[in-house]
Amino acid sequence: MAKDKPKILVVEDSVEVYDLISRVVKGMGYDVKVVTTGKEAVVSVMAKKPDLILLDLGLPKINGADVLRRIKNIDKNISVIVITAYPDSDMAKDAIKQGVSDFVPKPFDINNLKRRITKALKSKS
Amino acid sequence: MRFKKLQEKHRIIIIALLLGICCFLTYYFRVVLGTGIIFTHFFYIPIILASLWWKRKGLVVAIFLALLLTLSHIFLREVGVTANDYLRAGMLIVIGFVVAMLSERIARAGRITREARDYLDSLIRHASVPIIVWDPEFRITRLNHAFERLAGYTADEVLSQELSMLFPEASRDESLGKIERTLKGEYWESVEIPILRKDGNVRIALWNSANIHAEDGTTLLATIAQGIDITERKLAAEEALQESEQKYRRLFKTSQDGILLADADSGEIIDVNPYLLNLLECNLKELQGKVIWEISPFSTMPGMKQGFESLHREGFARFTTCRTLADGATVFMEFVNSIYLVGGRKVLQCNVRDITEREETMEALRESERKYRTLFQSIADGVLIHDDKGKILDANKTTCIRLGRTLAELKGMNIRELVGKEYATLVSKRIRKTTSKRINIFETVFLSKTGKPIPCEVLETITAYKGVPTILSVARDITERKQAEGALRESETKFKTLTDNVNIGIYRNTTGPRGKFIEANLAIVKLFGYKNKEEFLAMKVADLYQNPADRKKFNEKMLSVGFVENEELQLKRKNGTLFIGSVSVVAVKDEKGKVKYYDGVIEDITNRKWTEEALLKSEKRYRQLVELSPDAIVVQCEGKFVFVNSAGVKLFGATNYEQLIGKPIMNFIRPDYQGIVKKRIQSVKEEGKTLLSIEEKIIRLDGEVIDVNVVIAPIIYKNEPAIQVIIRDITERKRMEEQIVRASKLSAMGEMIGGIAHELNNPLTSVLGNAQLLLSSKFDKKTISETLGKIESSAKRCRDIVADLLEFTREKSYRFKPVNINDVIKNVLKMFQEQADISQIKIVTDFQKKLPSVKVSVAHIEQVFLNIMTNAQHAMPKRGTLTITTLVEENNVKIRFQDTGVGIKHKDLEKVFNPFYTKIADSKFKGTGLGLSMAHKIIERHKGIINVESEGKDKGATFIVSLLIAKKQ
Repeated sequence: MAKDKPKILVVEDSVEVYDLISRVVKGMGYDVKVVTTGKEAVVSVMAKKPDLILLDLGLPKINGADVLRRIKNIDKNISVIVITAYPDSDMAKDAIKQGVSDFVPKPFDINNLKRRITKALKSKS
Repeated sequence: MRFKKLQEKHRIIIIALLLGICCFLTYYFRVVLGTGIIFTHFFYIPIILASLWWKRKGLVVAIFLALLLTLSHIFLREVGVTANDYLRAGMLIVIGFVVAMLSERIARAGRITREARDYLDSLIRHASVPIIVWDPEFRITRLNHAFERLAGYTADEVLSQELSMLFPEASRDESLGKIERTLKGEYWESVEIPILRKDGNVRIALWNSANIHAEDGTTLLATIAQGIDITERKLAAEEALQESEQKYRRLFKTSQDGILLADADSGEIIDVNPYLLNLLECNLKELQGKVIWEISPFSTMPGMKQGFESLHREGFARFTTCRTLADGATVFMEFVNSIYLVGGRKVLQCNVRDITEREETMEALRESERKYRTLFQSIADGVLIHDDKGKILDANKTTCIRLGRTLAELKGMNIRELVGKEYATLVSKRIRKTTSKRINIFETVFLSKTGKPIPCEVLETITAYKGVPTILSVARDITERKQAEGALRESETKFKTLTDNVNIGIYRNTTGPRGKFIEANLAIVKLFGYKNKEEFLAMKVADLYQNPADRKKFNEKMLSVGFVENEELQLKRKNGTLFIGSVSVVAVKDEKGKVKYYDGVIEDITNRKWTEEALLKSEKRYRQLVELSPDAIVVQCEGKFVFVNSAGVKLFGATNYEQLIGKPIMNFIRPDYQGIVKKRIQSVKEEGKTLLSIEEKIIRLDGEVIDVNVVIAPIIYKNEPAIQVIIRDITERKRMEEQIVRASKLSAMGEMIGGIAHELNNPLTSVLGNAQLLLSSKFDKKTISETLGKIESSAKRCRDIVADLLEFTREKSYRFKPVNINDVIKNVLKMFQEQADISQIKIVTDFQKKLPSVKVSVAHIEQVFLNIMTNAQHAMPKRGTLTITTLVEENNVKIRFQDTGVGIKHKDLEKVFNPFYTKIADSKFKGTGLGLSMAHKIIERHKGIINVESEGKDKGATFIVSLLIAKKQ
C-alpha cells in the first residue's frame, strides 16, 4: 500500500505554508516530504524522484526558478506545480517558460490545490 | 765678712771635735765594752749644729754618723747589722734633714725682712719730700734729708725731741690739735701745717699722714707724715688774691653793669654796686640785709621770681625783665645770675645789664626779619639760600612745594642733588660766576622728589645769611613758557613738514598776465619739475600754461568771481611735458577791495584723468560681457533692481528693462526662499565675500515658477555698494532630475510591492487554507484548536507586516536634540538583551569615552540601532558575538555593529538596504525585510551615512552608522 502512494515533495520555506500543504496532501492520502531550501530539494530529487513537486518560487539563497532549472536538469519530465506569492514577477515568468505542470498563486484555495494535485498526478500517469 | 769667716772656722773645729768624740764613743762601746748598743743620743748634737749652720750641706755630718753606726757593726764586731741600727741611722738622717729645712726657711725670712727694711730706709732717706716719724708720745723718731732741709735742723738735733719744737708759737696749739687727732685714727690729707725753722723762719707745708700699728692692729707704734713745701706758692696766691680783690672792687664800683651780691641761702643782700643802685633808684643802706626777692624794685619786675627759682634749682640763671622808671620810661634789664662759694660761703651774684637800647635795636631787627621772612615765604618764585659749596641753608615754601620736599629735607642737601644730571656739573661754574659778578641769571632744570623736571630761570645774588655771605637764588618756574615754546616750535615744524610733504602744491602769486609766484611749497616746485624754490619763483605764472592765453581767461574769471574750485588747467613742466592740474584759488584783497594776489592749491590729476578713462573703457568691456552672458546678471541695490542684462530680462519673463528696474527683488522670489535669500544678502553685506550658488525658486512676471541657481557677490555699482546676482535657469535640469528620481522611485516601488505580496501572501495562504480545512470536515477539538492557533499566528504576522509597512511609510515627527550616542546604545541594549540571550549572542561594547554629542531624534535612532541588532541576531541564529564600537572620526561619530553571522556576498551588499530584501535562511528568524531599509531612511534624515561591510559568506558583517557631531552653540 505504501508503495502505491504517490510521493509528493514540498519545497517551501515558510513554515505556516508548508504545514498547511503537508496537512492537505496527507489528507489526500499521499506521502509528503517537506524541504525548505532549493539545495535540499535538488538533493532530495536526486536521491529519490517524487511523483510530484510543489515548488514555492520565493526561496532564500537559490531562488525557485533556479531550483526548477536544476530539477529539470535531473529529470525533464518531472511534474512540478509552482506556487508563488507574486505571479507577475519575472521569476514566475521565467519558471513558466521552463515548463511546469501547473501554477498556483498564493493565497490559494485548498480545494483548488487539491484539484491541481490530482490533475497533475493523473496527467502523469 | 772677716767675722763671719772666723765664725766658720770655729764652727768647723767644734764639729770636728764632736765627731771625734762620736768616733771614740763608738770604738769604746764596740770594742772595749763589746756591746751592740751605742749611746747615740750624743750623735744628735753635731747633727743639729751642722744642719743649723750649713743647712743642707750639714746633712753630710748626719750621713757620716749614720754610716759610722752601721759600718762599725760590720768592721768592728763582724756581726750583721740589726734592724734597730738601721732605724737609728735613718733617724739621724731624718733629724738632720728636718733641722736643715727649718734653718733654711728662717734664714730666708730674715733676709726678706732685712731687704724690706733697707728699701724703706733708703726710700725715706732719699725721698725729695720731707718725711717725719713720731711716736705716740710725740717724740721725733726718724726724719729724712728733705725734712732736714725744710726745718734747717740736722737729724741729731731733733731726734727724740718733742714735736712741738717744730711749730711756730702762733699756730702751735692748732698744729698739736691736728696731731692729736691723728692718734684717734684720723689721716691727714693735704693738711696745712706750718713748720718753724731753726733760723726762725716759718715754712708752710701740706701734710699727708699715716699711722703705723703693731701686729695686733690697735696699738699705735708711730705716725709717719709726708709733706710738700708750699710756702712760695701760698705767698704768690695771696698776692694774686689781693690784687684780684682790688681789681674786683674797682670793677664792682665802676662797672657799667649792675652787680648785686647776696647770700645764696638766705637771700640777704650783701652788696650792690653804684650802677645798679642808680638803675634801681635807691641807696645801698636801703638794700643791705634785706632778702633779695622781697625788696620792692625786684618784686615788681616781671619774671624775677621764676628767675630766682630756676637759679636756686640750677645754680645759674639768665633772664630778661623790664622796669618802669619813675619818669615812665621802660628799662630792659638782663639778669645773669650765678652762685659760687666765697670763703666757704655760698654767694649769689647778680649781674644786671641795661639792655634797653639793645632791646630796641633787636626789636627793629626782628621786625625787619619778620618782614623779610614773610616776603621770603610768600614769594611765588622758589627762593633758595645756599653757600658757595652749594649746600642749602634755607628755602621758602614755594621751593618746598615745587620740589615736593620738606624744608628739613632740603636743609643740608646740595643744590647738585636737586637739578638734572647735565646741570649738576654746571653748578660750580655758576657759583663762581655769581660770587665774582655778584649777580647771575641762567636757566636750569630742577628735579622734584618724584623726578619731575621743572625748567626754571634762576637769578642768583650774593646775600648775607646769619652774618655769612651766601648765595640767594630765586628760581622762576618756566615750564609753561617752555611748553609753549615747544608747542610753537612743533606746530611750526609740523606745518612746514605738511606743506613741504603734501603732494598738493600750495602757492601765492600776483595777479595779471605778468603775475609771479611769491610763495610756493616744495610740492609745487617738484610738480613743475624745478630744481628748487628760487628757480620756481623766478618763473612767470603765464609761462607755466600750455597755452599762455589760458592765463588770461583764468585771470578774468578770478577777477569776476573771486575764486575757482577744481578748475582743470593744461599746464607744462620745466622739461616741457604736459600735465593736467586741478586748481582751487581764492583772490586775496587789500583793505580797498583791490585784488592783491591769489592763494591757491594745485594738484596733478593727469593720472586720475587717465585712470578715469581706463575705467570707462573697462566698464564698457564689462558691460559687453554682462550683456552677452547667457546667465541672467542682475545688480540690486538696497533690495531693488538697478541693473538687469538681456538674459535677465528674458529669465524674469519681461520684455524690457523698465519692467524690472526699481522693482523690489523679493517680489520675484517664491516666499519659501525669501528667508534664505535675505540671510545671504545680509552675510554678503557684512563679510563682503562671494557666496556660492544655491538653488532658489523665482516667480516670473507671468507667474511661472522656475528653478534657478544663484551666485551673489558684493560690487560697487555707480559708487554705491551693491550686490551682483548671477542667475542660471536650471528648470530643465531640475525637471530631468525629477524624472530620473520618479522613475527610480517607481522601480523601487515595484520591487517593494513584489516584496509585500510575497510577504503577505504566505501568512494569508495559511489563514485561508487553515480556515478552509476547518470548514471542509469535522475534526476533533484538539485539531480545531491547533488549526485556529495557526490561523491566529499567521493573521498576526500579516498585521505585523502591515504595521511595519505603515511605520516605514509614515514619518514619525523627528525631534532633534544633542545626545551622547553611547547612552542611546546602552538604552537599546537593555531592550535587545533578552533577544540576544535567546540566540546566545555575546555582546561586546567598546565605547569611546567623552564622546562628543550628536544631534539626533532619539526615538528614531533607537529604532535604527534596534533594527541593526535584530538583523545581527537573525544573521547569528545559533551563537555569535556582536561587537558594538563607538569612535570619533573627523566630524563624525561612528557606530560599528560587527557580527559573526552568515555574512553578505559582495554583489548583495548594495541591496541590503532595499525594502523587503532578506536573505536570512532560517525561517524562524525571518524578518519583514523592512528593518534595514527603515534604518537607512532614518539615517538619511539625520544627514548621516549607514554602510555595510562584509568579507563574504559566513564571514560576518559590519554595519557602520556615521552621524555628524553637533556644532557647539
